[in-house]
Amino acid sequence: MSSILAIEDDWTVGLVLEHVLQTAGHEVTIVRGIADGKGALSEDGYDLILLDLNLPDGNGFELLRSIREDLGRRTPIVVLSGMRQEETVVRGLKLGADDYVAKPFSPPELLARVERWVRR
Amino acid sequence: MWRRFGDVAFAAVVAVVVTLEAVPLAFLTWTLLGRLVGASGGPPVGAVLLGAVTSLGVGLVMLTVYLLAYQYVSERRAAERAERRRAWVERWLRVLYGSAPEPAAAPGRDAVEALLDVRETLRGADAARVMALLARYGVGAELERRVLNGGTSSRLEALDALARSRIPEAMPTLIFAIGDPERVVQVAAVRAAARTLAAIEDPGERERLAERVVRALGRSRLPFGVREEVLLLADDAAPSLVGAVLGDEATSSSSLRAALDAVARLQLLVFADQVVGCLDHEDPEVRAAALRAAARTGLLPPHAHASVLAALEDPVEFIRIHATAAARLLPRERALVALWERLGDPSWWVRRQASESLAALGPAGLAELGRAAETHPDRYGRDMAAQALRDHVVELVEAVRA
Repeated sequence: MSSILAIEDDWTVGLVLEHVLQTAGHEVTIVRGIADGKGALSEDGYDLILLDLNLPDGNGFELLRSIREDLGRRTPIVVLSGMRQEETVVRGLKLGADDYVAKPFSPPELLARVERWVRR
Repeated sequence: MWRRFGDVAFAAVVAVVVTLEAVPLAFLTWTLLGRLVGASGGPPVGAVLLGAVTSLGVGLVMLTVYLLAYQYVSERRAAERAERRRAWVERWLRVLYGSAPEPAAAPGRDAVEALLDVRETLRGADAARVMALLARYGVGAELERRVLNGGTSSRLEALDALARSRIPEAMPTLIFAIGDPERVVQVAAVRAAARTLAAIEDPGERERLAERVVRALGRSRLPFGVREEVLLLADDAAPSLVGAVLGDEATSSSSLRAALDAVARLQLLVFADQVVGCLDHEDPEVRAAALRAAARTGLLPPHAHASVLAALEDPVEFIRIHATAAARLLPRERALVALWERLGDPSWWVRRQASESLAALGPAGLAELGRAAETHPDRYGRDMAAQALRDHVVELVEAVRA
């Protein structure tokens, strides 16, 4: 069983993630913003981070950069965002995201991607 | 709008408060006028004044109490509703993934809203299962009925729900609503149609419906901004809609511009030929949009070179600006010559664009900027070239090193 941190402010998406990932045997922690995300990352070791880009207290890119550069974490990060423009995807990957899933998403596809990164 | 319910209570409070203020003030005015014309009798002015002030105070207190109570009740209702919706989302997820039975009877409003929330989140086979649930409970049919009947706010709510649910069967109703006499309904309908179109997977069906949407859009007289937004909202269906607009000979200039801007923004390279076809359009706004699309997609076939060269000399300033941006796609020698000439353009914006286009051409363009900064016959052209070199000093250093 792996431990996954989802930083996602939309509670419907959060519930879907919780349901899909827990059903597949993963432990999921959901936080709603950047400050909570940083708090969670300072306490626990996670096997994977699911990160939304539009968060109520700031931009997910900022957190992504901070996780890689300030905290120095190599934990796999999968960006889960409604922004599908090429430049947004490229920016996310350049800042250190390992994968990018656009919303709306297919739960089986998301699960497959999550498990691939967790296995690595 | 701050009130979501309670129209009758609000009207009653306003009526009472206005009465409490208007009647004493009228009586006070009447008493003062009586005193002014020397009439005797009646209540003392001091007492009337005190009564009027008290009445005004009571009115203000009533209004304040109403507003505070409304705020409290409204927030409590919103929180309860959010909680009900959250519970329904959890229940629908259990239904979808097999651990709970489907509700036997048609669910209420919160349940439908929750199901639409789930629909908005999912894609693929799971989304198809949500669609099956929506169909089973007749949600689409009910929303279509509300779009065709009822007050404006109810129709707008139904159109918003159809946009979220993206039910393909609702497309005829949405297309019909694009022709509605009310502008707000037209806008909501065309947005819902675009989002629904994006969810239709069969290419043939999608193109057939896209043509119908474009025809309805053409009749609707919606402004350019809405047309452009619709093409961008269509997401995966954007090529179908753009293709239908560009392929319609009777399309308006406004739709054409929106389609060309969508080509530029979404990088729809498949429409390069249609973009070229618009470079000589009679409407300068369309010509500018075509030049913009060519510049952003980076596609300028040889047979379009003459149109760009002609646009560089166009008397309309914004055409020359966009032509100068597209001119970097000309063959290198022709581009350098054309952009050198534009550095002497009377418009600051054209000169600026010319310097940017030259800088984008790499070492050859930067060398041309260097020559222009020293020897261009136009003083403003020399200044602009020198400024561009300062702005692109990093690229310049790299070019010199190379």
